Amino acid sequence: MTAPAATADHAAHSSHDDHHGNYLTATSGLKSWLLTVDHKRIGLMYLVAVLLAFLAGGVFALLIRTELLFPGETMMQAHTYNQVFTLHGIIMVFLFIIPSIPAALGNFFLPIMLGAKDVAFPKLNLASFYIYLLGAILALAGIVVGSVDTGWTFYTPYSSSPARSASVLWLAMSVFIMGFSSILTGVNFIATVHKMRAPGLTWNRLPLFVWGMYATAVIQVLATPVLAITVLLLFMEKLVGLGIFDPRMGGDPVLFQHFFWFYSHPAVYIMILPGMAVVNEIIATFSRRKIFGYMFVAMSSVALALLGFLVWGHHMFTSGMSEFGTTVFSALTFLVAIPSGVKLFNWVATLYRGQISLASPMLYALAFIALFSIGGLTGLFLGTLSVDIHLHDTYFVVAHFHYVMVGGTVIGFLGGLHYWWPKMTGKLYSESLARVSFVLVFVGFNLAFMPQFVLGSRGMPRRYYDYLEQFHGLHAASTVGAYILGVGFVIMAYMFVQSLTKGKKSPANPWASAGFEWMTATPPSLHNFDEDPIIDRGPYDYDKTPELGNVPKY
Amino acid sequence: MTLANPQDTAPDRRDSTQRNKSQGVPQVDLRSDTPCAQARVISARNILVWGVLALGAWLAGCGRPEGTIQMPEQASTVAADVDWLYYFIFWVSVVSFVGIVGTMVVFVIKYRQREGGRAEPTGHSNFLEIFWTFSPLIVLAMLFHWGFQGYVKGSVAPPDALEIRVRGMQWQWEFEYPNGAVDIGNLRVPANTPVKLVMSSQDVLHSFFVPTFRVKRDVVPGMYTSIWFNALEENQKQMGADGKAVACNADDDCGPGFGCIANQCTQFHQVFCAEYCGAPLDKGGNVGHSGMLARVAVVSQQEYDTFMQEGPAMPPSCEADENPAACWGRQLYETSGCPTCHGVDGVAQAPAPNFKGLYGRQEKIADGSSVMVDENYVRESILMPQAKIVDGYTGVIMPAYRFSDRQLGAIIGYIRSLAPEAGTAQDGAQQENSAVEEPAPEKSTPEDSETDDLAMEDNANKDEVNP
Repeated sequence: MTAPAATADHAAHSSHDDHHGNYLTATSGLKSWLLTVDHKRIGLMYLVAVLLAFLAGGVFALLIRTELLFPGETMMQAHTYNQVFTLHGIIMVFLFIIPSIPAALGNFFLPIMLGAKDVAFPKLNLASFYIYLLGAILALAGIVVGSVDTGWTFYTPYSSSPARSASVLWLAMSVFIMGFSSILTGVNFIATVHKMRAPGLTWNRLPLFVWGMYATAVIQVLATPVLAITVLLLFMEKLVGLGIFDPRMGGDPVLFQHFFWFYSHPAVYIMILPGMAVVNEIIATFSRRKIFGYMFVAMSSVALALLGFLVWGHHMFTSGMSEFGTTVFSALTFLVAIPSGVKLFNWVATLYRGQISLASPMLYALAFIALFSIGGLTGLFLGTLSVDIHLHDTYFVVAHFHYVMVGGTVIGFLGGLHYWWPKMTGKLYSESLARVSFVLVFVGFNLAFMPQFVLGSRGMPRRYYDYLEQFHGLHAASTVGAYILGVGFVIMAYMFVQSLTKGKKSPANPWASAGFEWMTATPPSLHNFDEDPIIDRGPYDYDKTPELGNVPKY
Repeated sequence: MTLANPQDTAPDRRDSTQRNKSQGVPQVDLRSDTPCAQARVISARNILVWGVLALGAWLAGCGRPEGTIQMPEQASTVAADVDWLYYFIFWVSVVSFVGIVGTMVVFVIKYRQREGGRAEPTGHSNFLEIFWTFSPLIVLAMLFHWGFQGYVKGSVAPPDALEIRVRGMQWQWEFEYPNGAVDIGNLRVPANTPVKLVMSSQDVLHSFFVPTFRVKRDVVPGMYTSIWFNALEENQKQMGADGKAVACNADDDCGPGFGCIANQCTQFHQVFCAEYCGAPLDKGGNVGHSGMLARVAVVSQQEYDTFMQEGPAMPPSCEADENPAACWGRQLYETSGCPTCHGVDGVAQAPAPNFKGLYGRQEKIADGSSVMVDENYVRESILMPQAKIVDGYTGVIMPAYRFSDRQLGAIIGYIRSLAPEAGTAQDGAQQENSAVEEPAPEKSTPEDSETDDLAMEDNANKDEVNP
């Protein structure tokens, strides 16, 4: 990317910004944040919100693992345990993972990567944040009003029993409202990518992060309304007494599962595609190479977005769906393996003959490849019909989706956070603390979830408060792993706080990346670019930017 | 394999020469390094590969009838097939993982950033892209095909399969045999016989899961679902010194690994509920979903046939009792939820007639007529509770209970034993004084009453949902 004034000299930008202030200091006061339409500030506010949600969900996760340290009652009643795992699921899925990368990092970087001053609809962007907040508050209200113990899937008829009416309705309303936040972000991203690209930024020069966000946005816009419809039908059943899902009123409980997964399976791709999108950027920067098979990687995101709509039935192989339907869904499910594999193969090929730096963001990206491989490969067991019959609804499934959601999305999110932290805050963080927390997170995660594969294949069903003595050893190992994981996150939190308070000022391009987002000042100025950028190369063209050199050591 | 575009490498050649002590001409594969460096990389890779394979072999082996680290015992005809496919996927995964991550690790080590080093610009290879886009399809198609075959085999029960009804309810499993006998929590099936379970739910979703049989199917309110299995071997019974199976009344009477099923200590296959179904809100001992367990005991065809003809047998502990029928009847009374409504202490109470002194009495029926409480009336009241309701007790609807003739006889015997003429003089005196000192039956603690209460509600619902 070149602005008319040559950009090789980043110092010129920095000194330039000192006159106008960056986006953090351009205006001040609470109002300037609460009413901002700046995508960067909205992204930061989202970041704070999702990190708080992550903290809450994480505390619930530790409560779950502590209760499961021993068979029988360890610290809470069965009914309390059911609420705790329900809240863990709802908070982690709806309040953290779904908005994490798109709404926080995507909001911040997508416009900058496009050379745009903001997203296409800045006010809608702010609206989406407040809708998210409203949803989160309603979720809190639901927790206060009553006990939600349905699991994050809200399966009927358990969720429609009269005892659960009030709290389930609050939570369902919360999910309904947060859906709109998701849709608005999606609409905004699609419009921005189509209409706001800088001159010279052709589709085949688009950063792969943008391709990933674009594919995610398509799913958000197409799938989320189905969730809204499902929740509305649930309301109709509750309030008007229309028998839709409840067999006592002539409804069909399996229909709810179809509706729910028709959204929630594509939602899995809303969660994982952004993680993959971040990994592209990190691998390119820290191996100094353009992503191998760029177009195949970009199209594999689009393919995942489309195929993701066709495989919801694989959550229901034992649900009482017809044998024919089950077979069709199994066949379609295997197709999803193809684009995921294409990404993995291309990332590894990108490393070939690169100059690989093992700075902390790269550690996360490499961990993503390893953990997502396990997550993806264990999906083969679950797609295979006869094997899934045995594994369905056991800890094998729990381990599988945590390898995808945590090993994939959360690791990708953390990689992105480490990678872009200096850009967002203008501060460097302690690389040694970052490495320590990475090792703890990696080891703790594997210790927490690897034993769960074996638990599951040996027959331990999920959502169990109590378990047979034979499962104790593996459960205990998993709990120890969860604690290590928790310690890793505490150190990481300390590291980021330390960076904010005492961190050294970051250079404009701390990783010497060729990515477009690093071609502005750090932190970016209010309108991202002081002069309209013109793009004359791709985001990973290290052969055309020899002046960048390799990644500096920290 | 050409990952790099040769034309673009010219400016980098000098750096890479310094860095890798390699030749000037870019090569197309890993062998561009000196033999020594190559040997180092290859051996590192070998160690990694063999290490992972050894770890995998230790973890995995392959499916075995007695079970492995990853899989429980293979106790049904489909289990070996499922395990074979499981281990096939396991090894495909291990090889793929080692391929992807091993290559990644090798690249990271080999191409670590070096002072003044330059990355080789990325090339492009349509061949590679097409190759790794489409070649996995072969394995995926195989997995789909084998999984489908196994699924069809497991879904379609042989036409001559023995049918047993299963009802899931919060939070227990009820089994009903072709002869009408009902058991809660224990299922007995003959070995080497296809058994089809026709399942329904009285309340919410449940899922019937027997890991050792490799079968699982959701139990859905408002519809029937089914599974079938063919158990391979009889479960071992715990043998006493007399060469007969050890008799028992509860699991505590049996050794570890044995359960008390039909009053014999026997090994069994664990049944789990695999679809979340909640937990009671009160602080009882009931843990709900995770406590919704049941057991399958595989017995000989002969033992099963005897059970079918005679219904459940009298517990051996009652055989030596001076009134065996009353002893068995009392056990049935305690374990079938009766104490929730029917007392036996002679104190008149809601919601149902007290059994003490009931037998042989003339009772006034709600419609104004009267009836003598005899064998026929007790039997009718158990099987068809609504037929003749004693005046004053019309407010509560008792669910219909299914007992075999021998069980009915035992219950009648028990109620009869509580009648004045059958009791001791002391009993009679207590009854006259409406004394309440007689201890309540051991099992009807408040906790039990609560769970029984739920069971009663469920039984009441049953009649509405599944007429």
